[in-house]
Amino acid sequence: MTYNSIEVMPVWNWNKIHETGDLKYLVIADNYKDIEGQNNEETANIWLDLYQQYIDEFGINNNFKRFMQKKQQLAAKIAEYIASGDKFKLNKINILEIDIKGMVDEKEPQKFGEVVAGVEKFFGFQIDSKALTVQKYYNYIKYIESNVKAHGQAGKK
Amino acid sequence: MAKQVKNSDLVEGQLWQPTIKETEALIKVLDQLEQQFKDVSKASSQAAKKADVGSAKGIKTVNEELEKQKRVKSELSKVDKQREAAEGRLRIAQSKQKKPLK
Repeated sequence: MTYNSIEVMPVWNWNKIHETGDLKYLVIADNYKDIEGQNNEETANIWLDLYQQYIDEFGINNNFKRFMQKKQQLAAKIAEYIASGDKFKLNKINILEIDIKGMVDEKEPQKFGEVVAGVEKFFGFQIDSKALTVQKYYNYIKYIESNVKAHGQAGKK
Repeated sequence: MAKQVKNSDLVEGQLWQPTIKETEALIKVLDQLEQQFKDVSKASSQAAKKADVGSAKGIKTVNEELEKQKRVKSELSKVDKQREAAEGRLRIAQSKQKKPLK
């Protein structure tokens, strides 16, 4: 059996999949050591569905959208180069690749454990990431973000 | 009776004929391969362009199609090098074919 909803899936599993790309963490289990690889079409679709649930609930930020749009532009530019063989297009490809790499570096994500620690500090209670659901976790993050925006000094709380 | 040796048999060019034929065939295959890569790239580019980056499926599509484009670009570069080498071989074989035996 696998997790099929972000209302039920623990954020620990969600994070493990992001960290490792291993879809065995979709399986509902206490221990993952003995679970064999689960990356197949079925689990890929389940993961895609969970990701869509996350997007529907929390949206996609503009930076990430721009990042994906740059990737679309890069794909189009490579296709133009392939079709024409025009080596001048390689310059544009290089520029786009540098832009994309720059966006990834800028967006260097905080480590999961650090974010959890920040959430615990903010709310003043401990979090069990194996029990906390994805939905609840991101609601906490969302609340902190809106609080920071509103007061501009959440870190001092 | 032994086969009579004709003057044309003594022309080195005859020796190069199989090489020329094989190399021309190879270039033809490489041309077809290049066209297939171009077709794949065009379809892939359209799929990436159409994808909605506001959806999980769209994000997956863009990532996959971009990787495909990079692979095609790299494979095409190998094909180009093979063609360059083949065309070089063909030029040499054609020039040798024209020269009579010394």
